[in-house]
Amino acid sequence: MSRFILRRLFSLVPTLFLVLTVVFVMLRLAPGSPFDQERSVPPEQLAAMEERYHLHDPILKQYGNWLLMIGRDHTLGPSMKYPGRSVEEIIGLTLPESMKLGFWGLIVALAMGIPLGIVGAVRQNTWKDSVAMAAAMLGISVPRFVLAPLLVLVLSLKLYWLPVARWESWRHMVLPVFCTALPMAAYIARLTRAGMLEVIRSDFIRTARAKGLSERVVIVRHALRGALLPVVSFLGPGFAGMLVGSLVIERIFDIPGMGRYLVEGVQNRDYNLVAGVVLVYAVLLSVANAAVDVAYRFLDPRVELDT
Amino acid sequence: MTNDSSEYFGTTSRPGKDPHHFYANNGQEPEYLDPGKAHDTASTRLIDHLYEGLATYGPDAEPVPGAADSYDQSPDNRFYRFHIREDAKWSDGKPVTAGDFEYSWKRALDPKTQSQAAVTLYMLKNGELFNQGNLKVTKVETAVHTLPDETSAEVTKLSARAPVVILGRSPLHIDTAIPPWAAIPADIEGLGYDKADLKTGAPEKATVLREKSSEPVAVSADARLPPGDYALLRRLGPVVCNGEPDHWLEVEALDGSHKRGLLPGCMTSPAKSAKGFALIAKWDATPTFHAPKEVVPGAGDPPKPEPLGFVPMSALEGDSSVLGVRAVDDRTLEVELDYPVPYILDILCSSVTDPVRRDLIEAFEAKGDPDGWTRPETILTNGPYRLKTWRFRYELTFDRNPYHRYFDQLAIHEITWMAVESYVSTMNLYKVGELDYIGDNSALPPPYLPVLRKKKDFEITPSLAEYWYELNTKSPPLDDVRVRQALNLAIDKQSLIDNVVRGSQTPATHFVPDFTGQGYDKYLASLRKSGTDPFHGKGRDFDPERARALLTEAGYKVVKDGDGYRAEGMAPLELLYNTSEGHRVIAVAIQDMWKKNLGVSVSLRNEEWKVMLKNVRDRNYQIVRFGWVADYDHPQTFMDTFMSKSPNNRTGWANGKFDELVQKARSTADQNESMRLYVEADRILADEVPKLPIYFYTKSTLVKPYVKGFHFNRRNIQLVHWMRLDPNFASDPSDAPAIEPSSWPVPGDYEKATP
Repeated sequence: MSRFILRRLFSLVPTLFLVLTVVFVMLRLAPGSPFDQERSVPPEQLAAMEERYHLHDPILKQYGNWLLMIGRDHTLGPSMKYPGRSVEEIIGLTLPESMKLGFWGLIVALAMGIPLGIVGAVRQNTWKDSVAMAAAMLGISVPRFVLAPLLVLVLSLKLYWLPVARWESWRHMVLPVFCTALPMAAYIARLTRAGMLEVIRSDFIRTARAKGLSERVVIVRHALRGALLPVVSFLGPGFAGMLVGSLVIERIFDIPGMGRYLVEGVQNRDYNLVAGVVLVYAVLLSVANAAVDVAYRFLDPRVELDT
Repeated sequence: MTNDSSEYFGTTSRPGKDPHHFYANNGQEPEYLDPGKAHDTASTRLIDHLYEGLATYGPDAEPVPGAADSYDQSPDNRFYRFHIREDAKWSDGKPVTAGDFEYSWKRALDPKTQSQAAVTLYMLKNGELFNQGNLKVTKVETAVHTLPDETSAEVTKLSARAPVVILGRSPLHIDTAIPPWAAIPADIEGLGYDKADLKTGAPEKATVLREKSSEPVAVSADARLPPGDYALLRRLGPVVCNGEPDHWLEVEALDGSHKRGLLPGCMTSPAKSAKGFALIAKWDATPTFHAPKEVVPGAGDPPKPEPLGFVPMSALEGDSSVLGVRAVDDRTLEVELDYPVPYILDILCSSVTDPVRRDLIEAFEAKGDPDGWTRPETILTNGPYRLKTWRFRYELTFDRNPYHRYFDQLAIHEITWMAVESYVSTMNLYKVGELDYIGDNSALPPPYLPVLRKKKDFEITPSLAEYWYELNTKSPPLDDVRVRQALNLAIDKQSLIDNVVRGSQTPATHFVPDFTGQGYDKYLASLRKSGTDPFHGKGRDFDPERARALLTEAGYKVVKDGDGYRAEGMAPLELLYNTSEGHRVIAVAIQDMWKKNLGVSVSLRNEEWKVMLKNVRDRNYQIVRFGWVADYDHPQTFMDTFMSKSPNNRTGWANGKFDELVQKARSTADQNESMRLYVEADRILADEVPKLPIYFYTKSTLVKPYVKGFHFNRRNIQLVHWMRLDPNFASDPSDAPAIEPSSWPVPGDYEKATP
């Protein structure tokens, strides 16, 4: 097990390297510079600003300098759009907020989706199943940028139960977390149901029932583990989708998270910031995927990890 | 929630909130809280509260005394002396001195600071040259040579600290397939030159522009100069290249072949060489701080520099004493300008003219963190408010500066500036009472405007900004003024405003908004009263029939084609705009109008902002959407974008008569005469239409009825100093500001008054 984890961690390095290199090259190929403005800047000044960030050096030289900066100076560099702020500082301030949103979103999604999926499977083809799956379909289909304003309209503007935006107290977290979680919960519900339906038919479940265990124990203690397999394998890309989708939620609710830098950083050609954010996402996703594989092993002892 | 009256948009009570705490949205994270570098409104608006310049924006955005309480001026508006208040203090208690202003302005103009706000200070004597890095002084006594070679003949010796202007640099890097000229070609109006684009694969292109024609310059592999570094031998006559003033240069190869040729400067680039030389001219125009006895028009104009010879670049350095600002003593600042600026008090409200603390900045520069001093723990400011907290990309809070003279009079003790980017979220926060004001730097979501207009807290004001389409007048058929006029007259601007933009904007037929201040609005009103309206009527207002006649006259016969028209022989035009829903709907409407009224086909192209800017810079466009927001309340700010030398004139259009009129208007102390000249200049623009004027902006916003002292104005500058929150707003309709600003005493005579 530990060998497996170590191997996964090591394989992280070349993956990150590759990702960063691709991002580096693509950003610099895009036309335009970080310093283009509507008011024209005197060309000498534009050149001086670009010089400061070595934007006119040959690409290989820029790449080398950048790697040195990360490896030797242990910094991801200054942000070109936010002077006086380093990329690590920006990430350090905004990543925790995105993670809070993501973490609670995940918990809520699991808490909503798994029970709904179980109900659908156990009461298959009854009205309870239809309702559950219809709700799931709705949750998947309604985009976040439709759901969020709708909920704000009803719950904040009409009923005054919750704040309209901003990120101050737990009450401010309710709507953003729910909007983040819902599409994922819907997906988890469908996957749980599918997994549960498959597991319920297996021999060891029949054995458990034959032993006289209550249905509840059969489902929760024995079937659930296997049923969650598809959910677990979805969690990797699901987590990714949630982090990326957080951009929309962050904008609507004015949450100081990290999601927006992926888009804005590119629009502003803030090379260092984009590289830093991509690095963080790549690490998070790799770790999430590795964790998913480990969890798989726990859920189904038949799964071989070291292939 | 109580008080949810439907007269107003949302609640009008603020339960649980401090009556001296104001909540507004600043729209975006500020880029700099450093006055020397900030150039975006999200930053400058905050700086307007934290710092105080010599003047400051009053309740109606008129310049009122700030850190200065009086001034002297010369009759030609070129020399000013400001007296700093005795009680002006920094947020650490130290007095604000004239030296703080001198340091701040020189720092903003220093090329090393790389300030994008420095343009505002170009009015100072030698400001522009210094900021461009072209005005330097000799370090020690230096010999000037005929060629960029220390062994060549000596022309003369310059004393130490002699100011010089750099006219050219040597060596130059040349890598062009365009063959050099043997002699300066006669009768050309200018050149167009496009470098090869490695990314798109577009080849290099040069065009010679004559008055009636243009011919491409043939590329020749044999006749070209081999790529490499070349010495600059001489600078010859002027030439216009890509719309900018340039010169012919005689260059010689440095590879031993001594190959020579003439090329315009735009076809060369600086070479990376350790041993660089500068072609210099002596520069005697340094500030004297003495106003001349008589007013001679053009007296202050900088002389035309004549090339003298070459000195090594290493012999030169920047010296800010060439700039027209000096602190005579701690409380007196003298200013000498390159040209008359009658609206200087307005300029002195802008953030780049605010003072900064030298000791603080130099300490941070010494430890390699030049932008780190603006954090709340270390920043020092001199305005009525100071920075309390700064949560990145979320909010900033201000509290009162205990050392400022307004401390006891301010009705607002704390300000929270949010950074909400979504217009809808801003509107919702306002509705539930989290915001008292949408914010100068935010806007209302257009789809909600019809609903919001009906509310009592909705405010709308004309704004000093214009929306226009710029035309590439070098690209046929747009080089024909009749085609441009036809395009202009075929747009039904009122219909566009009523049906598409829907913000009660004013259709524009010219380029200086009617309500511009400093006497412009009064002059135009009196002109119209006397029966003349230069900007309405034939040839100005929407007139599709006349448009068709003009287009036909230009050679593109407009014939009926079914329900509409077709312009024969006219190739489709391309309209470029930066990706935005707002610009798209306008572009689609105008595209339709041109088809219906004129029979001209136009294709639409939208690009991401930075990509578009690059394409415009490279003249890769025909029609492009742009606009202009006034930097100050005076016609000059709009006229600047049409001057032939202006970097903001991308159209390739240049008109000597127009330039002349504007120069004269600017130097005229007589306000009425000055405005008359500006109107004449604008008339030329309305005739020539190098840009198509579409509409003058309005600004709409929502502000709670209990906010008093909020005077929504055409500059869209409403400073919190003047505001107060009045819970009795229903019974007390007065809108007087919290503080009555002082007014300027009559200015003294610059020469007679003793500093």
